[in-house]
Amino acid sequence: MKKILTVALGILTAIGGFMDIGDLVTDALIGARFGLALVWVTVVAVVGIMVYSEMAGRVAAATARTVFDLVRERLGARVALANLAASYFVNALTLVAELCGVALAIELVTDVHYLLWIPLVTFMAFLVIWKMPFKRMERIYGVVGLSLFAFVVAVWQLGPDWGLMLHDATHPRIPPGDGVPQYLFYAIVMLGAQMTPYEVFFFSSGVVEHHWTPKNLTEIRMNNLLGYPIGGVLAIGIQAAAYLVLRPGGIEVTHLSQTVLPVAVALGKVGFAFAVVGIVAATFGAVIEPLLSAGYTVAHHFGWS
Amino acid sequence: MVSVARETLLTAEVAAAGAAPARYVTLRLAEAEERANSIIQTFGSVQPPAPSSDRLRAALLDALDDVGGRVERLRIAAYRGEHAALTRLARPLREAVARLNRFIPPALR
Repeated sequence: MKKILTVALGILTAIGGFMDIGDLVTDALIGARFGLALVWVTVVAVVGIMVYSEMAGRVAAATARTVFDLVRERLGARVALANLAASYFVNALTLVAELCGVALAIELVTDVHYLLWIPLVTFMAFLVIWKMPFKRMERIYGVVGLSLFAFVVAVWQLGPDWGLMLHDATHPRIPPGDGVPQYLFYAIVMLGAQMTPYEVFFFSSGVVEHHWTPKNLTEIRMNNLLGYPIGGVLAIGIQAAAYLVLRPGGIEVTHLSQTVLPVAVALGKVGFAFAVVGIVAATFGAVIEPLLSAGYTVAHHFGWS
Repeated sequence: MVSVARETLLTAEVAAAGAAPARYVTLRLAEAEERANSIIQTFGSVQPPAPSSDRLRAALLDALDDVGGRVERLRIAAYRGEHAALTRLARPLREAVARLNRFIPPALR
């Protein structure tokens, strides 16, 4: 059990980072518009983020210092400050999007407009950051976020032609009405939604938080090898569910609420409930990650312990 | 608009099968109506290039209004909890989709 829980950091990083509000909507949008023609982007994103996180984790474990601390030492205070300001800005934008994401997910099952949920969600995030120990945080949001597997189960339940799906994923074809520029634009959009910088900062800070040393390289690697591929499988699951249910009807995805429609079609209310719980956990985890990441980056830049 | 109509049909089917909570169904239909109205407004504000286009414009706007009106009726029924009536109310949307498809080149349907 202890071994299983050691991968919670990777799962939380992947669930909160990979499956944030941007990715949840982008995956469904791309699945409905391009089918499985952009699955390769998710594979690239998983490998890319694994390489970056492995590097950041190893650096943190070997030096007991985080990436920002080392950037300042190697590149000087000015360059590091520019780096800090840019990542802080990205974190702030991400945080606003994720807060709205949690509120939108709660709105799916309540009669309250999402804007009214934002102050409450913000206060909840403040309480969690202030009161909850790091390990409990990563375990709760990592494990609850796994409810998103409802999308993968929905794909299986829909009984697709697996051979055709594999063919579509491995032989990408641009649909009629779209050109190469649109295809590449959405490839970049998806890569940007899946390979977010705060995942790496957060993972690096998590390694320091766990007091991992070079002796814990196995844990670091396990987190990388399990966490991010789980995020990748969930992302492909959402794309595949949209491909099977929304694409045949030519349905364009513009709202988060459309993302869960294929799960309701395949699994009914139970699956719908799992999907919404998973979305709330994933987006709330994605609120926590940039918040912690922002705090960590500032503290590490200035050398505060 | 074809997307809105088909999505509304799917939502009505989900509601009739009891596969999603009532709140979700009403939210989905309200969002679909919002999109339909936005599409109608966008097409309505386009200046026809020549008087000869007026007939085409009128026919298209009529087809769009038809879908918008039906989605609106579905949203009202859903808010009133009349989920059993949704499938019946959604049925004419199939004809509306066929009507809209006549404005779209076959390769893009």
